[in-house]
Amino acid sequence: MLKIRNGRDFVGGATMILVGLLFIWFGRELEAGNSFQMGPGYFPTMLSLILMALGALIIGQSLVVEAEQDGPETWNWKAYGLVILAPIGFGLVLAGLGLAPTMFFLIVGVASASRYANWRHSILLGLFLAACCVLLFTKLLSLPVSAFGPWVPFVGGLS
Amino acid sequence: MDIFSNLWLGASTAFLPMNLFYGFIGCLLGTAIGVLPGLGPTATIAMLLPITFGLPPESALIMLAGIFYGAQYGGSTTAVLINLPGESSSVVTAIDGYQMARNGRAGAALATAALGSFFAGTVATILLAVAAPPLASVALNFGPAEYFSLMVLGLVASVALASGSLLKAMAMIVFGLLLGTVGTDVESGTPRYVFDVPELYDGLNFVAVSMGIFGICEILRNLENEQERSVGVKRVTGLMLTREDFRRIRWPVLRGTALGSFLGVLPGGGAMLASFASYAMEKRLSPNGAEFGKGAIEGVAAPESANNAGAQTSFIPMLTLGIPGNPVMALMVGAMILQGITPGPNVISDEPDLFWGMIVSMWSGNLMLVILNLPLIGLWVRMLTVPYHLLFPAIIGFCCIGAYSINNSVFDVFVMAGFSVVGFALSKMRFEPAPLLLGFILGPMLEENLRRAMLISQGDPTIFVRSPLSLSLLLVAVVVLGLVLSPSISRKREEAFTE
Amino acid sequence: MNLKRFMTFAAVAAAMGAAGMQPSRADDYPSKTVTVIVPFAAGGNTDTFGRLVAEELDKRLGQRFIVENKPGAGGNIGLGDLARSEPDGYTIGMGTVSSNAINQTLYKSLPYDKEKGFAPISLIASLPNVLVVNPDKIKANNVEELIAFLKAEPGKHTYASSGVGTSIHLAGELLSTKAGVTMTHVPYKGSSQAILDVVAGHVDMMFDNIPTAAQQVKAGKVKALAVTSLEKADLLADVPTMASVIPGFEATSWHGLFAPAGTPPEIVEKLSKEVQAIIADPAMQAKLKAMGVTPEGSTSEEFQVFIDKETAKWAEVIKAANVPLQ
Repeated sequence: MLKIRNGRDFVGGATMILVGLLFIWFGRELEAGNSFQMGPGYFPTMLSLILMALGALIIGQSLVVEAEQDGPETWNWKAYGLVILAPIGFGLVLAGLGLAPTMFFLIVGVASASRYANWRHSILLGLFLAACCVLLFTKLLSLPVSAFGPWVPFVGGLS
Repeated sequence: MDIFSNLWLGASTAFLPMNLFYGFIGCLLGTAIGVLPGLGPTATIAMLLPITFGLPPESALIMLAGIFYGAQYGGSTTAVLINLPGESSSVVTAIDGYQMARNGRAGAALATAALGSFFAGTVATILLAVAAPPLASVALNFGPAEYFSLMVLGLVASVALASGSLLKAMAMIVFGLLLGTVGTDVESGTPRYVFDVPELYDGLNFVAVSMGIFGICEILRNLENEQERSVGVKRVTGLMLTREDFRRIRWPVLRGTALGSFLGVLPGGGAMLASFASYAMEKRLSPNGAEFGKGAIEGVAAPESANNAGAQTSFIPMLTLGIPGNPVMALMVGAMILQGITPGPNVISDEPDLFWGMIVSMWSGNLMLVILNLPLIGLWVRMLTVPYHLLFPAIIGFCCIGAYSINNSVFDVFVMAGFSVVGFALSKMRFEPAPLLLGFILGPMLEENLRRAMLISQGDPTIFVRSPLSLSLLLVAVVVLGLVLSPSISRKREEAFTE
Repeated sequence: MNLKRFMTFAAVAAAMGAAGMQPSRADDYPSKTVTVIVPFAAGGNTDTFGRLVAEELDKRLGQRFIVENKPGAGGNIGLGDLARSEPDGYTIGMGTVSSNAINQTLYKSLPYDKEKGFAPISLIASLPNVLVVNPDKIKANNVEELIAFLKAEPGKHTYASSGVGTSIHLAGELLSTKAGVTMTHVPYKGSSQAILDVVAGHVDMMFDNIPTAAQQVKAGKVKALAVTSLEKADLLADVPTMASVIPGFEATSWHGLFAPAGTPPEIVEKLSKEVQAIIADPAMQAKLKAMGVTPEGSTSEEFQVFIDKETAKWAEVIKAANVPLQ
């Protein structure tokens, strides 16, 4: 029985095989054609097969070559969650709230991902960046997004 | 026609106070938008186009050109400081530039980029003045078959970008190529992997993917080890280059310039190839090859010179043939048409002051950029001393707006968020992101040219070896592949023996 | 829109419904900023026309007309946004032969209601295409010789285009069907790379927009055989029309202004009059003609008739040429 000497590479190789399979699965309806008359599916299918082969080789290597010694992995789920969700939240509320409030909430929210975060600093930073962004993007560069969107009472929606 | 009288004519146009002024405005704006992620020169030039209606043609074009190369300078600044390549050409700069910044050498990296770019810009301008028409005919010799072979060579060379496992780098390239197939297939018009999302019909956007996989992903990695480095970088030492640095960058800059000047002439991706082809070449040739990926100054000098030289020579097809090689050039053509000048093969003879004025202004623009950027380095580097817990929210904020501004659509913001997860997962498995991005850029061009060549040859694959140019490119690719594989194979063997 | 204004709007809408008539809002229109959606990237032809017209509307109506680029999916994304926006005249948008006449057939699904469509304001400009051939590859001096040449070697010759389903591609398909010749279509992303490969001789010929192609013709890099408009083009005055050889052959790339369906007719009318006046202005005429563009201008009704005709024509070409639907 082979021993997995490099767990990380083993997972990496398996992921590549999975990616290849996903591309083949979702591209199953694309016409492949042949090497002389290539259809839209030819190139992606070939690439997926190559990727799967490479994945298999990476797995093979992970069984033979010992992993280099690395420091232990640390995980910080709170930070991941906040940093990844922040742009999604930004996208969802931008049209409704407008740039200034969206930016403010984004900054204050995402700043709390850091263990050095401090509410006073975050709020000041949020206000400062919201003001800068409105000035830079809506006034100077006239990006088609208003400073305050229609969800904001009284000032919202005016341009 | 004497070259000196031409340059004199150009200088008398370019050095008019008004033209110098507009050139300066262009460079300033370009640097600013280059630093902001997402907002590229194409969008800025388009927005400024109406303003240029009221200007004389020379001033208008000088300003627009200034934005273009100013953005090239600005783009490398964010690549070095926060690992955020805003332009495809600065992906490579991010590899070693960001490592230099982490070692406290951000100042030196930025100075190298500025000086290398200036040198390259000067050489490329001279080349443009002396040999624009013959170089343009080189561009005409590149048909689909030649482009395909060039892309193959580029992909082979890009394996050398990885500092870790060769197999994993190859997997990343192929993964990138696959991501590049998302969107409408150019040849048949069939949508691929779009899942009925209209925004995906034009494929994934490079800037959104790159911001996710480099910029946001880097923040994720920094935050998980925050206790070790609350500031993100070591103490900043020395803003300027040492004598030793100058000695080290001398040859890389020269070689980068030569490669960039040549590849920049090719419309459709030549300039893009230049930056990483020169990186790959330096990694082979440099005596400090082992340092690449860990903050080698050559790894900044070569691609930055190549990229700027390419940016200058990419004007050649536009000015001499009237055919724009990239979207920015297409906008310049639009600006010229609105000014009543249709760019074409006759521009040199019909509008000599415009033609030579622009060429000389490229050099003066590069000079201005150096003067503008060298003092700014101190300021940029000071930005890194801002505590990281204040810096990273700002970076995320600018990335979000940047992604939004690509198409004025929040879809690209979601793409960015998605790719930050992909990038993060890959980095946990020790896959490197640079080869993935290069595969992503080159993939569509590789496939298009392959299939276009097969269409033109009626399905006859010998088209790739019948053309001497294509054949020699393929042969070089084979040699490079051999060179890349040989040390790793022998290393593998050693490893196997020690076991 | 805030709550108060929403209530007002709802009340007005209810009153309108009850009275079965439209309020006359055209008099005080526009009272705030108007957004002009351009469904293509900044810097292209559509964007240029949109910006030229927006700038003039700005001056004449005293309100800001802001151009907003929403590129993607052959114009469908921007037009989808336009269709979903409030039909009050404060969001209008540009449309072209591709986005408003070809995509209707070419795309299996559109992000808006195909039947409802848009309220056309006015045609702005049209760009004739010109058939150019590489003189080394195609031994023909006129369209008749070209057809004979192509018939002698069916399928052996190639024509370039700026992409599947573009007006440039379909002009080629139109030639194939009308003249009964077979050629290989070689699509590119955008026309500049395509014309470069025709100049270099990698591809034999193409239909291209006049402004860029005219320069290559004048420099002798390619040979112009015919223009695709019904009348000769100013920039290439000695080149005959396609229609003189193949009657009824017309393939122009037109650009116009649209409002969402349901916009009050008075407002559409008002905008249409303004746009027509802007285009009729001699300075604008001169500017457009210098670009090789034919200035148009039309009433809403004329424009609608024109669009219906174009949609039917291209639907037929797409069907005859068997272009795969997207």
